Amino acid sequence: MGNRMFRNIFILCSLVWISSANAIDVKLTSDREFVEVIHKDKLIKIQRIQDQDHRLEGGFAKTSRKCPPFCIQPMDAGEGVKTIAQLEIFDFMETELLDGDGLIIDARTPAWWNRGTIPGSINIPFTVFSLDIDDPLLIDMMKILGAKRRGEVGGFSRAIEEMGMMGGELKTDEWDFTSAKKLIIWCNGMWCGQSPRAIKGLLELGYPAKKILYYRGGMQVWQSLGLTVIVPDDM
Amino acid sequence: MYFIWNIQRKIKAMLWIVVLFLLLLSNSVYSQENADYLKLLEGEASDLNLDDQTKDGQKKTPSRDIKLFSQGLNDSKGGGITELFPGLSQQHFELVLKDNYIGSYLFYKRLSQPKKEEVYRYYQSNSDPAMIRKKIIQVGKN
Repeated sequence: MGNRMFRNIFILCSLVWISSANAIDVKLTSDREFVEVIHKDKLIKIQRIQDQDHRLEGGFAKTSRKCPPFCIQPMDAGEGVKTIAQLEIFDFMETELLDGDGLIIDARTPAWWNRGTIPGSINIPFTVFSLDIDDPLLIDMMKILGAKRRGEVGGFSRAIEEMGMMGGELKTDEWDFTSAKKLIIWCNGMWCGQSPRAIKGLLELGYPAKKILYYRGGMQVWQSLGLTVIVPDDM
Repeated sequence: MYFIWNIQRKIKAMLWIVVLFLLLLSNSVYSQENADYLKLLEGEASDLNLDDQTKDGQKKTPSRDIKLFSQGLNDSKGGGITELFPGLSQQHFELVLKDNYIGSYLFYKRLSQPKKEEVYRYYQSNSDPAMIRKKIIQVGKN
């Protein structure tokens, strides 16, 4: 009788110990431990580094870079463009990104992308958005974003569109943004001008501002929170 | 008179040359600025090393290959239905999800049978795709 009771208490204690060992202490939010995202046909779990003594080392521990060009960026990247932070990204990953209605764009040059990116992102360097309007690379990239290059548009149709009819608010002379995806655009953080340049380029092309979100914290803040980073080549 | 007219013509021509020169100059300054910026960016990137634990975190982060799930997606036939109308059978519901809401489907596919049934039961009371997507994620986390 005593033995059985002792055994039961031992099993119970073991279970409590095992469950506490598996518990995540460093959550994303009080009610969210992780977010899963699809990156190149793989499900990646985004969570925070669990070692509470961890300190950032390496490139993103650096505080000072020459300005210009590495100057502190304003909060707003363009008129009508919303600036967001991590929690909005998590929500976006579980909604628009999941169902293909949105994209997360790492607007940095490939040299940065190759050294680590936010899971779920695709790389479209900011330089693409300042290419000539007929450049095949720009047209291909815009297609990925859901924007279509328009052919000849009759003057009458265009005049009607400009009056806000026939979906005109989502069309320019050159592009049709009717099926344009919602975008989160980011780069290295508050000192990085690459995503603001990409956003500027997109706005100049006529991309609807309400479909662009700017993650100003970028890789700097992402890493300072210990969030999962992936190296594309290792995938 | 001809002399004055000739001088005016020459001044105009010179002005055009100056304007063209300034345009070319500003363009080349702009290109040079861009080239310098890209050069500095490359320099900064080459100095970048990922923090060791951040790298380890990536290796320890569970990731699953979902190629198996997406195989045969194109062969699926949701009966031509492109919306989650109320009243579909579970099998039909899954096919429509597969055909039209691939992201949600990939998560749904990973659920255990009882959890899939829970999602299906939820769909019977609410066929809004956004709500179903939320339900799939919520059930997956429990």
